[in-house]
Amino acid sequence: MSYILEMRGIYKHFGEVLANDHVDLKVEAGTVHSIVGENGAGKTTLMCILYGLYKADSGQIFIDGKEVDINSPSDAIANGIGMIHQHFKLIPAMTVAENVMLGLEPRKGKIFLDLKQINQQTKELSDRYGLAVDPKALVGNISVGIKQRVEILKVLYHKANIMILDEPTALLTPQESEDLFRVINHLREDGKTILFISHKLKEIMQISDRITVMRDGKIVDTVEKRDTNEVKLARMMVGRDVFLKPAPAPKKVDGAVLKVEDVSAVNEFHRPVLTDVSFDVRSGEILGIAGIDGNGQTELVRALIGLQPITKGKITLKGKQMDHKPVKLIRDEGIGVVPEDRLMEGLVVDFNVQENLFLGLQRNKPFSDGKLISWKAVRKNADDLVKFFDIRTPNNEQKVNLLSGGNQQKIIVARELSHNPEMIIAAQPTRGLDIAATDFVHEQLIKQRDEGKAILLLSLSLDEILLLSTRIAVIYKGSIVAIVNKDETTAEDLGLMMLGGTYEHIPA
Amino acid sequence: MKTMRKLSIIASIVLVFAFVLASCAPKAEAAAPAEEAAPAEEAAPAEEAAPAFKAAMITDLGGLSTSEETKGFSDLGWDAFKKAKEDLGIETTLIESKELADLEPNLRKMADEGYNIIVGVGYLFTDAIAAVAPDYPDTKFAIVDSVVDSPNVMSLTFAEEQGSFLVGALAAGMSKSGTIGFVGGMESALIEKFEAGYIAGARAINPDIKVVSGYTGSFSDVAAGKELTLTQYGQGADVVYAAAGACGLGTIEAAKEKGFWAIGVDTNQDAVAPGSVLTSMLKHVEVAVYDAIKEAYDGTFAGGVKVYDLKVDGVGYSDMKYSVDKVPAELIEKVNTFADEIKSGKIVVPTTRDEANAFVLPE
Amino acid sequence: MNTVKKFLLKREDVFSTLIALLIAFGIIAILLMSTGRPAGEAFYYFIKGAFGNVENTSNTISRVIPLTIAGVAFLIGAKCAVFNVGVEGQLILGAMASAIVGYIVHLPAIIHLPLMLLAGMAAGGLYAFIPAWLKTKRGVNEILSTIMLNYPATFFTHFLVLKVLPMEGVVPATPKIDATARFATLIEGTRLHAGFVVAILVVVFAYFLLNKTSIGYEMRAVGANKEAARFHGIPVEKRMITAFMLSGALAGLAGAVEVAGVHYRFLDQFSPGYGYDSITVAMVGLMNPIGVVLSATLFGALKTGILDMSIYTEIPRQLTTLINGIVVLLIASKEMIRSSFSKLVRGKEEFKQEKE
Repeated sequence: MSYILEMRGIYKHFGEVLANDHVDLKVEAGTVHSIVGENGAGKTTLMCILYGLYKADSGQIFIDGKEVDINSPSDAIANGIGMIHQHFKLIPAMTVAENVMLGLEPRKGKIFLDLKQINQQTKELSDRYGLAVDPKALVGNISVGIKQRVEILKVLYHKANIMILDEPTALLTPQESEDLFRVINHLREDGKTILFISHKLKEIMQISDRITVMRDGKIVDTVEKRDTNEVKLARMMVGRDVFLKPAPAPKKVDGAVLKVEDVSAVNEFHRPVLTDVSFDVRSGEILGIAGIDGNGQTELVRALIGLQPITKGKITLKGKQMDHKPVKLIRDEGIGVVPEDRLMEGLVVDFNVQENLFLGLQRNKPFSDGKLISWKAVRKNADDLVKFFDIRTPNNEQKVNLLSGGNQQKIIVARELSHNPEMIIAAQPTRGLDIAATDFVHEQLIKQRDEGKAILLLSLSLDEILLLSTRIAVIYKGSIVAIVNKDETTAEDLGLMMLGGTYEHIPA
Repeated sequence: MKTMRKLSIIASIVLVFAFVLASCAPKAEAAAPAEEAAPAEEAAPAEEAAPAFKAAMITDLGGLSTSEETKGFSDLGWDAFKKAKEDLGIETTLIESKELADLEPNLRKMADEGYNIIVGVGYLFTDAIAAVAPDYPDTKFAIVDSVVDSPNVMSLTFAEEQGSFLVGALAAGMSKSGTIGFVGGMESALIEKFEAGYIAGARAINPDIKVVSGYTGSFSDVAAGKELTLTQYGQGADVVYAAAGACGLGTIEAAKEKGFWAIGVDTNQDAVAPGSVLTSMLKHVEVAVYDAIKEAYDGTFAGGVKVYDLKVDGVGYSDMKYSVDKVPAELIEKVNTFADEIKSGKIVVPTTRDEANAFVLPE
Repeated sequence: MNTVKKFLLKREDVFSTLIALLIAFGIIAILLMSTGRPAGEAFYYFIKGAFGNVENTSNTISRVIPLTIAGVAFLIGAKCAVFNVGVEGQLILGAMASAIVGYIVHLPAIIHLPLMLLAGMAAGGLYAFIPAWLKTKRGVNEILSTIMLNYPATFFTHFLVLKVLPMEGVVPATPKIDATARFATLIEGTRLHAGFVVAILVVVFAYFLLNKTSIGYEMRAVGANKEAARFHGIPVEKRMITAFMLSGALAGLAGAVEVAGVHYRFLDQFSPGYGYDSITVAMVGLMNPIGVVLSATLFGALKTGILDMSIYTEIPRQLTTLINGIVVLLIASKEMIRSSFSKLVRGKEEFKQEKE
C-alpha cells in the first residue's frame, strides 16, 4: 500500500514545551483520516507544519513517496495540500465566486476580471462536488455552513488533493454538520484525501476511515475505525477512563427553586430579545436550554442575575422576588453562575488565582467584614479550592491569563460552587475545553444536581444538552418553543425546533 | 450617597494626618535664626577661592530665544552679560529656569557658588529675590521689571508707558481708518502700562482715535497673537502694537500677510518683516543690566530702585530703518516734541487704562 | 537557570523599565561623546545636582512631593478604568481654593493647615465630578472631557487672580497665606517642607485602599475588567465616580501642598504641568503606589540634576531638554523593550506561540 502523505520524525518544540515529539504519520490516498487529541496534544501544530505555517525542528514530509520541502502555505498549495481553518478567511464584501477565485482569477486581457468565467467555473466546481452554493451571493450574507463550503471550494479550486479540516464542525448546527459529512463523503469518493481534526468523538466515529490519536505531542496509536469505539478513543486521548455516558437519572426531583414567568426584555435598540419566557428549574434536576447561538440565551442569563432589565414578567427564587433587584443581592441570595464568556465575564484575567477565587464575594464573610479584606481567608480559600478542584497553577499568585482554558474554567466553577448556592446557572460551561476538562465540569454539575441543587444548563452543543439534562427547553428567537423530557426526544427533533422548524434543507 | 460618605471618611483620615503635621509647623520659625549664619560662612571661602568677578543671569520661564529674529527681553539681558564679559573680563553664567518653584533654588545655588552679582530677569523673581537676598548680604542682586526692597538688591524698572506713548502717537498718525489695535500677553499691571501709554499717545495725536485692545493670555503662543491681530484688523485696525513677547511675532506675520502696520516691542523688531513693522518700542534692558554689573564690578553698587525712562534713554522707539520714508516728517517731528515734553515733565504719561482713556494733551 | 528565568519574567515590567532607563542614559552618553563632551563629567554633575548635598537633595525631594501626590492621583483613577487627564486642572483649582482659605480665614495652625488642605481636596474632587458624571451617565469619554476641563480651570484662576482677588505688587498672585496655613520648612534655605509627610501618607493610603479594602478590590476589578465586575455584582459606575473624585481630590491636594509648602500663595501659572507629568510618573511607576514614589524621584532628580549639569559643563541648554525627552520616550516605548526582553528570556518560538 502506498501512502499519499507521510510525515516522519516530526519534532518541534516551543521553548520548554515539546509540541511534537518524533511524530510519524502515514495517510492513505482517498481516505478520511482523523487526528484526535486533547487541546495541546499537538495535532494543530502538526497540521500547521504540514501546511507550512510552522517549521519543524527536524523531520521529513513525503508526498506520493517523494520528499518535499514545505516552508510556507504557498509551498503546501503547490504540493496539493489545502487547509480549511476553523475561523474562515473570507472577504464578506465579495461574492462567493470572487472569494473562491481570489488570487487566481480568470482575466480578460490580463487586466479585467472575467466575471462570467468566474461565476461559471464556480458553478461547475460546486456541481461536481455537490457543494450547492450561489456563486453571486455576497459572502457577508450567507450562513456559516455555506461559508465553510466556500472555503472548501476555494481549496478545491487550488487543486488540492489533501485537504486539512481543522475542527470543521465547531460552529455548525447538527444539520449543517450532517451536510458537511455528506460533502466529505463525496470528496472521498472523488479520490480526495481528507485530514479531519477534531475532539468530538461521535463525529469522528461517524466520518473516519482511520483514526490517529495524539497525546502530549506523541502519537498514541493509529487505528481502523471498525476496530475501535468512542470509549476506547477517549481512554487513549486522556490516558484514563472518562465519563462520557449520559448522566444517570436524577435521584429525587423536588419543587421549583427558580421560577420564570412571562419574562420579556428588549435590547438597547428596543428590539425584543426575550418574549414571554416561562419555565421553572426544580431542585435536583438539570434543565437544559437548547438553541442556536444568538436566540436569547445571553439575555436570559443576564436577566436572571439582574443585568438585563426586564419589561414584563416575574422571576422568583425560592419564592422570593428577584426581578428588579441589584446583581449583588440576587447573587447573594444563592445563585452561582458559570458565565458563557469565561474571559470577559467569568474572570478578571489580570488578577491572580486567589483574587479570582473570591470575585463577587469581596464583601462577604470570611473574606471581608464588609470593608477590609482578610487576605488570610483569601489565601486559605484559594489553597482549599485549588487542592479540591485540582486547579493546575504554579502558585496562587499566578495571573490567570497564563493558565489553560480548562484551569480557568475550574477556577470559575470552584468559586461559584464554593458558596454553596441552591441555584446554578451554567452557560456554555465546556466551550473550548478538552475532554478531561469537559468531563470535570460535567461531573461537578451532576454531583451538584444529586445534592439537590437546581441547575440551568445553556449549551450550543446538543450532545452536551442530551448528555446532562433532565428536561430540555428549546429557545428560538427569544421564546421558549418547547419544554420536553430528555427521554422523549431526539437530537433531530430538537435540531428542527432550534431552527424554528423552518430549516431550509439544501440538497447535497 | 454611600460614595460621599466614604469620601468623607477618607477626607477625615487625611484631616487627622494633617493635624499631626500642623502641630510641628511653628517649629520652623524657631529654627530660622539658627540657620541664618550658615550661608554667610559658605560665601566667604567661595570668594577666596575665586578672585575673578563672577556674574550670573537667571531667566524666568521665558528662557532665551533660539534665533536672532525671535530675540526678546531676556536676550537683551544676556547681551549685557556678553558685553560685560568682553569689556570687563568677568566670568558669566546663565541659568534658564524651567519652573516657578525653581527660581529660588537657582538663586541660592548661584549665591552659594560665590557669584558677585546675580540678575533675575523678569518680575516673577520678586518673591524669590526678596526671600534670598537677606540671606546673602555680600552678594549683589538685580531684578528687572520689579521692585525688591533690600540693601543689596538693585531694582531695574522701565517707563514702558513713555516708550509706548511715542509709538502710540506714531500709530495714530499713520492710521488711515482711525482705528488702531493693541495685543497684550498675559494680563498684568506691567502690560497695562504698555497699553495705557499707547492709548494716551494715540489720543495725543487724534483725540477721536479708536483703540481696540485684547490679551492672548500667553507670552509664547504665536498663533494666538496672529489670530487676535487678525480679529482687530477685521474691526478696522490698520496699526497694531503687540506687547506680548513671542505672540508679537504673530502680529507681525498678520501685518505682513494683510498689508498693514505692526509695532514691535522690547527689541528692535523692524527687521523681522521689513516694511511691515512701523517701528519698535525699545526697552533697553541691556543698558540697565550692564549698568548693574558694571556698578557691582566697580564697587559703586547701591541698592534701590532705578527707573529707566526716556530721560536716561532707558526706553524709546527704533530708528524705523525700513519705514521712515513712508512716515511724514511732521509726524516724526511731533513725536520727538512729545518725547521732549515727557522728559521735561510737561506730559505725565498715565500707567492705567482708565487714566489713559481720559488722557488729554496738556496745553 | 530556571528560577532565574522565572524571576526575570515575573518582574518583567520592572526589568524592562530599568533596561529602558539604561538605554536612555546610554543614548545620552553617546550623544554627548559624539559631540566631544565628557559624558562622565555630565553624569557626575547630574547626580551631584540631584543628590550631591543637603540642599540639592532637599530641592529634589521638594520636586518629588507634588509629582508623587499627582502621580498617585492619576493612578487611583487609572486603576478603576478612569483615565483622568484632568489632574492638571484639578490641581490648579485645588491650589487656588487652598490659597484662598489660607489667606482669608485666620485660625490656629492645628485647624488652619488641615482646613486649607481639605479645601484643596474638595475643589479638586468636586471639579472631577463633572467628567465623572459625564462619563457614567452620558458616556462621554473622560480623556476628552478632562483635557477640555483643564482650560476653564486655568482661565478661571487666571481671572480670579487678575480681576477678583487683591493682588500685591506686580506678580499675578493671590495674597500670601497665613503662617498658620504653611508647612514647616524642614531644612532652612531649601524648599524641603513637611508636606513630604503628606506625600508618604498619600502613597500609604493608596496602597492600603487598593490592596486591603473591599472597595479597593472592586475598583481594581472594574479597572481590569468592567464586564466581569458588573457580572459579579460590583456597581461599576459608582466605583468609577468614587475613583474619579478621589483622583481629583488627590490632585487638588497636590496643588494645596505646593501652596502650603513652596509658594505660600497661588501664583498664576505656577504649575509646570504637574498634572501631565503625573501620567508619565504613574506609567513609569508601573501603576503601583510604591513605583510612583520611585518614578517621581527619577523625574524630580531629572528636574534638579539637569540644572547643575548645564551650569558646570559646556553642554548646550537645548541638549538638556533633549535628555529629558529621551528618558521619557524610552520609558514610554518600554513595551517594545519588554517584548524583546520576553523573547530573549523565553526563546523566540515560545513567545510567538504565546502571542497567538
